[in-house]
Amino acid sequence: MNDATAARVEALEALLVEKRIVDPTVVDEVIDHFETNVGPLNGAKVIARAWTDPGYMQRLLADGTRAVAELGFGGPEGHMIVAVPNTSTVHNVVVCTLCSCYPWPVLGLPPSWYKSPAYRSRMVAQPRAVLAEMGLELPREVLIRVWDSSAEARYLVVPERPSGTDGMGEAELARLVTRDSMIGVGQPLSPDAARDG
Amino acid sequence: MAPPAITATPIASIAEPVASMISTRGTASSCHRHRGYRDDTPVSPASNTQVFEPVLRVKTRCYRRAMAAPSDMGGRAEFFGPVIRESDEPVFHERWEGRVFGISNFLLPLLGRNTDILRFGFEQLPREVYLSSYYRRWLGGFEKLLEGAGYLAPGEVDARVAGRSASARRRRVSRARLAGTARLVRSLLRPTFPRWFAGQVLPRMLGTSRPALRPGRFTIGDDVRVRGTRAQPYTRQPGYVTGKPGVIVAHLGATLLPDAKAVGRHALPQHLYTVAFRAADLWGAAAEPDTEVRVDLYESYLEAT
Repeated sequence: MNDATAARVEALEALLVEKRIVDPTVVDEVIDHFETNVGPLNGAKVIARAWTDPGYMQRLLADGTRAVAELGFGGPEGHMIVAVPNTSTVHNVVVCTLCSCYPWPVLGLPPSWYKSPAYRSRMVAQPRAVLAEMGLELPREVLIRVWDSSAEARYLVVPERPSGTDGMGEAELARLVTRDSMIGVGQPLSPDAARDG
Repeated sequence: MAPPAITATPIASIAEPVASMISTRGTASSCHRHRGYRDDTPVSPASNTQVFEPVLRVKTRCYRRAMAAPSDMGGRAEFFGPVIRESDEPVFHERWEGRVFGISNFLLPLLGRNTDILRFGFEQLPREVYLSSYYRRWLGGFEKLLEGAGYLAPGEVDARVAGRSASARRRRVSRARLAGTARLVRSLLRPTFPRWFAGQVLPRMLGTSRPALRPGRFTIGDDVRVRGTRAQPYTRQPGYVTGKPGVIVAHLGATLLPDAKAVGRHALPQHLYTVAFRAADLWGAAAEPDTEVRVDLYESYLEAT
């Protein structure tokens, strides 16, 4: 399929450029932007700031869009960011069953598995099983709260700060925050794991 | 001890079978044994636009939706399978995926289309195209948009692939509009923005929040039920919450209604709520313990209980 599709895309782009409907240099820049500027490192900075600054954590939970804007992040698929905090009793996880809604400015473009029929269909029905399969076994007493981002809001999970990180600065903490932990299918790295990795 | 009272849910008509399913929840749970609701009606390959008349299957008390769109995946057992993660996944796997994404980002503002028009286009693709790959879906959606807007002739891309040139004179875009679109798209390609721009200008520019013209019907803590049918031909009401009881847990203000936006219909801004559903109310006996699902739903999707 891929060769035929690649040829089709090439043909379409050639037509659109000839017809002067698309500027190919802007297309290059869009690709470069999403490959280099935007990604989970942005979200990690937000989470690390929230872990170290209680005032910022409060603002993040009250108005995610404005709080991520404090770090300069915003753009398409980020016009209503809602941050949801994990606690010792509630674990949050995000899915979009109708398409693949995802907070681009803080996490980048979604990974393939997030867009897969298996994840989209199962996460709302079997969250505990799916999380366990993905390596996240949660104790029975922890409520799993699944957010199906069906409308305007784009959800960002705020994981709990790992233990053994007292005294760590923002930059160091940001290295512990994984993309998966901000979707809710993983936990942040422990300081040991981060050192080994 | 008296048996638990069955909630007397008024059943308006057979067109609301979900209501009747809920009122007999005790016996209805058997239809969830396959962990998900069934959707075994064949889908016409020609079109996924469906007539949404839920059919009550008296035998099993399951309801099934006639010709469910493949996009509405939540809880559908036919899509269940292992979730496969790829380590060090690239942003784009193939060069063409990036090209499709980049072209789409240019065309959306140029053509003045919104994401709901785009998603509606994806949902109308033949089922096998919709399910083939994420960016294949984008490609199909934009080809349709371009044809619909008169920038591409039907078959023009096919002809080009085959090395023929189609000489159809088609609609053009003025130089000024092309340059304006390029400027607009470029203005969003920055690693960071000034705080006021990211926090106040971008959300207004890109989002659809609007002042509400009247107060919302619901408040946090209200018990609600999702209406028993889904709007046609496009809606953001997932099938698996259709007809289900839930509780309002947040009010997200008012926004343009996607159902109207996708088809260019005018509608007043609608209040948007986050509704919490207990897993047992959604999945019956197959529900996992201590789990809940929260879904953002527009006011017109909801009924007071």
